[in-house]
Amino acid sequence: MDKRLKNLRKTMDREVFAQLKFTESHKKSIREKIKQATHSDEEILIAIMQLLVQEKTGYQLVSLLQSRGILNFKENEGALYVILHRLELKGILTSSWQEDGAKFYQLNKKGCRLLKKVEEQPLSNHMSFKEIFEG
Amino acid sequence: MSEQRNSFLEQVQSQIKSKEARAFVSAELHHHLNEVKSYWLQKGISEDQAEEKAVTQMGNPVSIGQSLNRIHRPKVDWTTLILFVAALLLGFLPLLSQGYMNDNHFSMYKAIFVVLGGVLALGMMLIDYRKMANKGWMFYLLGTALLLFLTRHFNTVVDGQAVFKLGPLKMEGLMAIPFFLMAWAGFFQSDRFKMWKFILLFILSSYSFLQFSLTTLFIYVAMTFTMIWWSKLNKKKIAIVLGTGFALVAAWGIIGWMTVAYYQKYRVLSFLNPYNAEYLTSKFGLLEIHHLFVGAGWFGKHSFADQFIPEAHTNFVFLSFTYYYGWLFAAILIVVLCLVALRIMFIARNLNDTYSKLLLAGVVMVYTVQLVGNVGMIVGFFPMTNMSLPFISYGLMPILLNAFLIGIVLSIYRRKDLMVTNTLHGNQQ
Repeated sequence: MDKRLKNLRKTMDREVFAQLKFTESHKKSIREKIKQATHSDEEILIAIMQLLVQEKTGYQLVSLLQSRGILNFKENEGALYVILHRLELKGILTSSWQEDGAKFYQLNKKGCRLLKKVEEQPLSNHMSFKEIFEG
Repeated sequence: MSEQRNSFLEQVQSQIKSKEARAFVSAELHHHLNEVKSYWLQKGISEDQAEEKAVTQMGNPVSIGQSLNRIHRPKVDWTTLILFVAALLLGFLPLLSQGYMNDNHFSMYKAIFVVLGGVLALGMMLIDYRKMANKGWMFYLLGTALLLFLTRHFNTVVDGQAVFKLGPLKMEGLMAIPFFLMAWAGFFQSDRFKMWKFILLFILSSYSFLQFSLTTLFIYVAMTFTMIWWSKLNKKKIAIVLGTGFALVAAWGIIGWMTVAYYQKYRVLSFLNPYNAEYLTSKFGLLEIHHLFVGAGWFGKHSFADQFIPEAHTNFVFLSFTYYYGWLFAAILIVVLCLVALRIMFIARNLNDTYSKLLLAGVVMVYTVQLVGNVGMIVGFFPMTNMSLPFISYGLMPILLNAFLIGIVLSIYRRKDLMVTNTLHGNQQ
């Protein structure tokens, strides 16, 4: 058995990994993943809620989050709309459509109360946050 | 729209089951892509490259679509549905107690009525009620036509009421209530609806209802007056108009009192003063009802051997139910029926769309008036009328009326999170 596995490793080294090159773009994507992991779900949600105290569209929100150093939505901007729709369904956000087709989101009273609560005690509300992220 | 963008949006949409959600999700992502594209164009890259960048920045369309689908899945309000089924099943108990189950076609008819009611409610859940918002006039005309038809072509008179009988089917004025519910909700949600139109249309329709029973008129007036409160008309104006209306009716009532027939006066007087000796001579008066109701005890008599209750499966169903099964079961019945109303109010509270709120206000009122009216006349705080107990009283038309009300609730609940599409018209490319 041992011998057969060693053979497999040898064959893999010779056939598969010989063709695989660790390019610059691989390096870059790994670095980016490491960077992204530094923001927890809670931090992102708090950031979104803080930004939505004033009315904003999803597009405006993406660039503002990026300027705060949150890169989770880079190359994955659609995921932000998933979170926004979930927050709206939970009754934390209100939304309105403009004539030009833009949809604006804003934190409502319930959302402001929640934001205040999690800002004061960051560890107390993780359960409800998890719900929002996992749906 | 470029090929790439098209296929991106199509892949997102293909994951979403709800048609309404598909439309507004697509519109929102479309707008986002436009913004990103114009950002890159400003940076000075070519149109095609900007488009490509915008789409790739979005991420994986399938996983976005799947997550959004989970959020916008059409919902079934199981609470209302379970209460509805429970109430319909409780409706079989009065038949069981009166021995109608084995030797009579009553039980079969009842089963058919219940199934038809269920089909109506579930069918209405699938219909998008919002498409009816601008059809107020159509419903008003249909309701009026139905009332006119019934006043001209009735072939039976039950308790002084014109009824159109076709085999086992009985059509009465009550059947026009759903049409007027839809009509008023449609009128009141409009910004252009004026007070003078309301007064005119209300007087015309009330006159049509007056040809039937006072009970139906009462339900109609209670429904309309509740709904107008959620309308876009000025609150002060509404108060003035309704106040004047009540004053006129009161004046008419005082004049009418001099002219009404004795038996009508008698009903009111015996209600106001049930223990007056003059009214005790009647065959089945309030005192008799009171006696039966109190005599039932916690667990009921389980027999009707020594008592006769008229209309035991329609108007006096609550009395016969209590007498046979006892106060405990009667309390359970009342709790289930009240929970239906409370559930509807709870749903209405969380809505922010005028049309849905108007519909639910009307639904709650029509339902509650029947419930309070029927139970109230047994308990003794409401005059004797032919109000039926929702879901429990025997008869196809009452069951269909209440199934219609439940159908509206289910339809609204199913779409309550899709309200945003209301303002979306004309925004999609």
